[in-house]
Amino acid sequence: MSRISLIALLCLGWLASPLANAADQPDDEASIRQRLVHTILASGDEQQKSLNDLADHPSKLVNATLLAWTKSEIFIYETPNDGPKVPVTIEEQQNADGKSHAIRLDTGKPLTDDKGAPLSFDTNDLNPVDTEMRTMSAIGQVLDALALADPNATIRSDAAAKLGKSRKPQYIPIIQARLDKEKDGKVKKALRIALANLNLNNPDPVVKIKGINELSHLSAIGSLDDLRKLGSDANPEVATAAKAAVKSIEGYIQVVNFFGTIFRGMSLGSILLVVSLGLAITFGLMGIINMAHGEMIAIGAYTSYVVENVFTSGFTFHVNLPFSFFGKPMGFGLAIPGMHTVPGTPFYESYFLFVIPLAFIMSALAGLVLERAVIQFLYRRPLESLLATWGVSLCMQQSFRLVFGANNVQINSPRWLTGNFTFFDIIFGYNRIFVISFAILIVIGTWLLLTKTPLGLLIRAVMQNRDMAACMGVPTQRVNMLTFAFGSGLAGLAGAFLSQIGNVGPSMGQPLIVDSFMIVVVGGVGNIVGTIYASLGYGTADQVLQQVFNSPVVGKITVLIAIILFLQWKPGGLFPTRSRSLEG
Amino acid sequence: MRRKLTSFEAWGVLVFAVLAIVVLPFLNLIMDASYSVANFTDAPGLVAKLKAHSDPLSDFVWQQLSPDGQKDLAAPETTPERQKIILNETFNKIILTNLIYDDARFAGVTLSPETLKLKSEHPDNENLKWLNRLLMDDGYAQYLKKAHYTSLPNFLQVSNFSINLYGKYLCYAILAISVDILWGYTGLLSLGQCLFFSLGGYMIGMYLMRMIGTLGVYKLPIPDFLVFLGWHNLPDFWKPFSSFPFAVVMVLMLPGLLSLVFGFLAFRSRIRGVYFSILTQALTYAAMLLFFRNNILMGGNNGFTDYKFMLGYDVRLPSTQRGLYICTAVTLLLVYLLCKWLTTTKFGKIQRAIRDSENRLLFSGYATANYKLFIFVLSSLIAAVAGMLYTPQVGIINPSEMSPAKSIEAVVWVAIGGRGTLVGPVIGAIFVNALKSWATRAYPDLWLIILGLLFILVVLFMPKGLVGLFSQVRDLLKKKKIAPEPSKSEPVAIAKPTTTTTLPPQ
Repeated sequence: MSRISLIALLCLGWLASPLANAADQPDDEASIRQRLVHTILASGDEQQKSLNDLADHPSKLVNATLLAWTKSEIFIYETPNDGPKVPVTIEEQQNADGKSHAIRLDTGKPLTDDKGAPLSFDTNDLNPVDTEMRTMSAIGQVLDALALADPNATIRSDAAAKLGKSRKPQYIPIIQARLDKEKDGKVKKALRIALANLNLNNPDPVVKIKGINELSHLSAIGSLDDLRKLGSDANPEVATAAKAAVKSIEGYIQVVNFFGTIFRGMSLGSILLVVSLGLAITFGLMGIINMAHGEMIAIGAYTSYVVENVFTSGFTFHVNLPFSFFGKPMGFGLAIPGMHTVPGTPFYESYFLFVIPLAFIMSALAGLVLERAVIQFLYRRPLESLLATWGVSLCMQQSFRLVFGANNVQINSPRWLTGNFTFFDIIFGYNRIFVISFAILIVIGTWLLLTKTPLGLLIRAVMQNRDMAACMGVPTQRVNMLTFAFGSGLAGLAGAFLSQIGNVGPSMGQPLIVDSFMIVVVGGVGNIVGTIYASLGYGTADQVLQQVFNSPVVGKITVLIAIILFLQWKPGGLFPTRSRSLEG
Repeated sequence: MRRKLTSFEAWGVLVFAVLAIVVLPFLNLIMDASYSVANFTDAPGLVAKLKAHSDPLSDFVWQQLSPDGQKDLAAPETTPERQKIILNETFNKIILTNLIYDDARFAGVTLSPETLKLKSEHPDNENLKWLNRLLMDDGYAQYLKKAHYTSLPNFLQVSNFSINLYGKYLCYAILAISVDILWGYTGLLSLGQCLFFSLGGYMIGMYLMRMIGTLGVYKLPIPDFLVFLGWHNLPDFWKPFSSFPFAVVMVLMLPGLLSLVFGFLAFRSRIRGVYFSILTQALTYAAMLLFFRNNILMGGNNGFTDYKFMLGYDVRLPSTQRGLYICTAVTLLLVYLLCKWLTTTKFGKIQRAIRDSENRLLFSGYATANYKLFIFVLSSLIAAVAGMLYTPQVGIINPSEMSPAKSIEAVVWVAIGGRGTLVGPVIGAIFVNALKSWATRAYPDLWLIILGLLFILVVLFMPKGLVGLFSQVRDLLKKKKIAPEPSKSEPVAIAKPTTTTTLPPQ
């Protein structure tokens, strides 16, 4: 090669290197400052070009300056006697007169007068730099392009997505350059999707098809609309490719929805499971229909509310009774001072760990009182236990209204229960995962209680034949009491979980009761395993049918009708209790 | 014991029937100060005087006319019938306002001695309406048939509001009877009777909605809610409901078919006791959810309301409400007699046998499923008829009438009144609803607690309800009377009386 061509190549290389290394090579601060000053003082197309050039020089200073520009925090100081215009920023610190020093943009040092003393200004003394629409949008794009190099991965992915949807082909080289350097898998995928999105707007059909296939391969759900529009493109090859891509992505969405539905069904089913377990125990082991079970759930949820309030600002309530006692108005109330912990601190975040045992205990106590006061007289009269507990349920609902108010109350979840993690676009909420795992623990705990402990043995004995067990010396009264308390405690736990997932109000238990009665009946009364299957099946079926019919109500109705028909086939439920009694 | 009760019961029923069917409506009639179309004997003359509105009273009346009314009365081609209707509506509106007497307004009018006497008493409420009525009568004496005021003591006054309320109570009483013949006599606790009640209400509601015609808000011949949903023509299944006989047939058919199918499926597989109750509760809950939806075109969560005409009578007039009340009372009597007769037949015996021990009956060779199905369908028909009478009196039917809570309320009435009797549900329904009307005004925050406590106490301590309270107290007193006295002689060991364990009731 001749020497001239070698020099020419070197020059080309020297010219091309900034483009290739644009994203990463740090320029020195002085040259950046010069560029910034040049950009601010320029106007029109010159300014636009200069702004776009800034995209190649990422630095914190450029970011900060451009942001300040958008907020009108950059001012122009016109040196007296027709001197040069100096772009400055105003310091935050104010001196006694309310004025502040100005910092020159080109040197980073305070603006001084001829003698070298720093000048002070009020913001009204100086003119801010012009901010017209074109400039603003150009600045926005530059900031977006700079965000591609941000250390935070989420910001990078979001920036990639935004640039991808901008339909500006000039971003392609920037994105490509970033892609070559990117190490994070998720951001890489976002960058590839962005590239493909930009390719969709390319007039060349081959490039379009390449973009379409890439999007299909990556299952880009966000590009579905654009692909659908391309499905009616003039070019037949492009149209078929786009249609195929749409189909493939829709299929992917269906799979995602399916698993999402299964997960939601399992979480709903696990809540129903905890509720129905309590009901199955009280119903199956004692023959008592407890219509107040829903209110036990509400007790658990309200306990969560009270504890959360005690951890922050305290809990008070006062109920005025509408009649007076010798002229003095009657009422009662309670005030618990708050501990004023701050959300985000570990102590506050742990409040839910206190709620779990407390909810169990409160509901168990309520169940105990209920059993001693009302239910112990109604053991052999199931229809009447239904009615009496309905009366209790009415009283309790109204008391909740009086104490907590008739509206739903708000409960803030601790940080470790909020949020979710996505796996292939399927959303797994942390609170639901927690509920499912805790439900599993509860089931195992109940099974252990019933099979491995002496109390469990007594409970099973009383369930099989109450009179015979009494003859053998089993203290049936005490067993009843403890079993009822345990069943109600389970309901309280379910309420505590529900407080993190759904609404908490005085009649929150009512819709759950109908569902859980159905589950208990389907699972076979008194049968724990049957209850587990029935509740999980019911939860999943409910969610699946919601998706199929696109309406929750029709889904619910179908499930109810299916249960009625199922009971034709198996009137005793999935696992009927085998007994020789005629009434069994 | 039973025989004595029967004659006591028969007298009670007779007294109640006379009171309800004859006395109360009569009291309401003489209390009613409103005009009816027949009062306007000379409509054209009255209209002419009003059109001229030369005297202050006519001026006042002319102002009270609606714009349509003024237009119609001003037009010469309006028929006397139409004039009477407009005058009736307007005059009724006038007497319902505050006292219309004004020295200036009634300057040229000579007041009758009756009017002057009533005016001097400064009446309020119902009697104020009477004063207004008498004043208007005096003002237009030659064009109207006058009414005469009878002064009644307060406790005998039955206002239009009261008669409407009593009509509602009696509909609930019919519903309670339908619950009782299932629960008290056959041992089947159905928590879904309100479903059939509401379906009956909905069927007649469809007829009433058709009868609104073009008088609705949108002034179109199809019901307002359909217009709101975007419909321009009547859907096909609404069309036959413009005929009253068809609506009545549907009132009986739809709940009847539903109960037939459900009962067949349930009783065939020997679903009993608690499972049956839970299933009926699920059924009514599912139906409530269904009726809340707008796309089945049954009014959505607002239901049907704003009724205007029924069989040509204006439903909003007090006279029509009185008529509906009398119909309800007569229906209650007929239902009671029917059920009473049923309990005296062999069918009634089988019913009670099913309640007491179904297995024994099965072994004796009776197909109990068929008997249960029959009584289930019969009770659903009774509930549907109750719903049919309920809707025009209350003026609205919506899906919340089907909620499980309402059905359980019906069971509460029967339990408090006394199940296993036919009088008990009637007494329970009237008592509890009257209590509710009082408590929701006096202690609205505590009403549900009162109801819940009442219910718990009745279930625990009064298993025979209010009707059996008398016999329960008597038994209690008898037990106290024959309690053994402590012996004062030497301390001989006295054998404790053995207590026999009674079999638990099922």
